[in-house]
Amino acid sequence: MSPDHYSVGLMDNRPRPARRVSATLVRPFPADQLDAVEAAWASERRDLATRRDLDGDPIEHEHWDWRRKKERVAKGDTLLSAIVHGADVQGLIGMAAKPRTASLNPGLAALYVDYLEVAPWNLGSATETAWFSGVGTVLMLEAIAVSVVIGCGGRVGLHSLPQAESFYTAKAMTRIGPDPNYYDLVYFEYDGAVATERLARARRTT
Amino acid sequence: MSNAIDLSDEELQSENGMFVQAGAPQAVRDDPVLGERFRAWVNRCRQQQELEKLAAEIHEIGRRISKGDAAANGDLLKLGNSLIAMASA
Repeated sequence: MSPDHYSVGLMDNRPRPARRVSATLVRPFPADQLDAVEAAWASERRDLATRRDLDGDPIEHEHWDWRRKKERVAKGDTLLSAIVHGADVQGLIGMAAKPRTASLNPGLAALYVDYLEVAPWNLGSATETAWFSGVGTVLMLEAIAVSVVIGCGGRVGLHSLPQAESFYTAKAMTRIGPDPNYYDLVYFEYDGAVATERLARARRTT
Repeated sequence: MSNAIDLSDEELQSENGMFVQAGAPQAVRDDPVLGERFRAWVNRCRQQQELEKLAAEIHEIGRRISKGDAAANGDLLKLGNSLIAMASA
């Protein structure tokens, strides 16, 4: 299947003042390009982990390796989308092709976000500004869009890393609580109506 | 309706510097030892967040006391009692 390309807006924080730039959302992102993504991200991720450790604000995702997802993506078990600007992938989202039961609406299905990661240079640290902002927000809107496409009505669930909980709360997801079956990570879920309203608002402005 | 997504400047900038990662790393899922280390790290983060919340509450009560807010003394006592209860649970 050849990927669809959609235009998405990001904020480039490197110039002063920051300026809006146009990026591309690629759905589905080809599995055979994950090696190149990991090659570009791995050393940056390690450097970021070191800097954040020194800042006293450690991260715990340096074990991430998108190459391990290739087989699942190729088999169709994981749906992959990416945001690309210039030659670089700025963020990736992996979604389970098989929906799960929603917590907020038992009996209805929700799309489950298996992984979401923005490029290490978009995370920033105490001493460095994130290059592009908006990548995580757009990837969550993509999850809502995919949820609608596969018949889940915009419902989306995910397990957040601890430092990311405030992000998902800010994006109007409902905090269901720590999940003892998933490393005690907090499970968040989008109600379908809340989610589709957010997606419609982001699309209306274009 | 187009599939293009264009957020307001305010929404784009509100994400600046926020951590957005979700999902446990595959290496953690594949390795039980790493998985337990990861769980312990998650719980340490949660304790840290609780401590930060408590510190902010105590700071706020201190600010109210310094402004002469009589009710703040009672709130400090309540907070102290709940801390004692937590510590002995």
